[in-house]
Amino acid sequence: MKKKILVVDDNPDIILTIKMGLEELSDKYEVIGASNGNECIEYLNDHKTPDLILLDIMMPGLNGWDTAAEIKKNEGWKEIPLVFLSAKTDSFSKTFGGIVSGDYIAKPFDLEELHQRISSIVE
Amino acid sequence: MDNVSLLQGILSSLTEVTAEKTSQSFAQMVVETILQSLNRKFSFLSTIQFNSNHQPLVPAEVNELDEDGLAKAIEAIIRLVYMNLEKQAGLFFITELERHAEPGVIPQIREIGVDLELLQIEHHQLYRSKPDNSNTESEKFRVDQSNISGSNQHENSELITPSQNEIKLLELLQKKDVDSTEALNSLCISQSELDTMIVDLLNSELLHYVSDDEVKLTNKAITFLKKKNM
Repeated sequence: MKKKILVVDDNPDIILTIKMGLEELSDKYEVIGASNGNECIEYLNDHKTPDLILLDIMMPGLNGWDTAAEIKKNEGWKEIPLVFLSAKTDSFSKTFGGIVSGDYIAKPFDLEELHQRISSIVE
Repeated sequence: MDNVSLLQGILSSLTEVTAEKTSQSFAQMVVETILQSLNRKFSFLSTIQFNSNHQPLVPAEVNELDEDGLAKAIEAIIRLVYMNLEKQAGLFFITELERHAEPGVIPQIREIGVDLELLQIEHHQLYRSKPDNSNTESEKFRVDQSNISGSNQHENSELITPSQNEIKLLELLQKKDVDSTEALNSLCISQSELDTMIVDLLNSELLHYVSDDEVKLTNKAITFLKKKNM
């Protein structure tokens, strides 16, 4: 069964790049996109939980931090692995993000590296 | 200040520092995660709740703890965040904690045995040994000139005894914005000597971080240099 990766980013190019890149690198993944935190929460309410969420931080509406907080306080979702995906690379963001989610990938990222990080979490 | 006020003060400060960089609800989650990870060793941490404004609520029974146990728990909480922060961001973190804490909290945690200076030294040694610390381009030392002109006199300036090189660095920073490469060349010192000087000057409150990679002179340093040149 394919591993479902939910990419939450307000930039559709990022979602497309990750979808095309990951699905080309491996047939084990199915990548779904959400353009902000609200869409992410809607998706989680309406669908089976994904195997991993890649979450941008700076987004209009519900940003990445608040989306992560919503996910982690929900009993049904709190175990979904979260990886922050952001251009916001200051040490504080990485550290605080890492304390809660355990992982943080800085933009711009290398697709092969992203693939390795994802496979080490979901496989 | 009793144990409850002290622990609540430091947790509120930590929550505010985290919220400034993330969000209120995520900050609560960060602090809750830290408390959960430490509550096997300090069981009283599991009794701490958060109110609807994301502020920590410490129960009254914490007042029954001895000071030593409380100091160890507070040090562990600070250490957990501090040791994960890279290089100068770590030192900036202590400054931020102090800035957000209610008056009296930081002096009192020092009084009960939380050694912030030791944490700074440990952090400095930890990141000094990391290879990416040689990237001097990432460190910029800038002086905010507007702060110099509007400075206040500091009453303890006569007690400060920086070394000759530290004074030269302060004077250099007072004159213009410099990055670490320029500072190294002007002072003819090594990167590790510069790192040590920065830590010493931070500990003496002659420099302070204005962001995770920028320091500037404190009012205390400006007063010191003025008196020295009189």
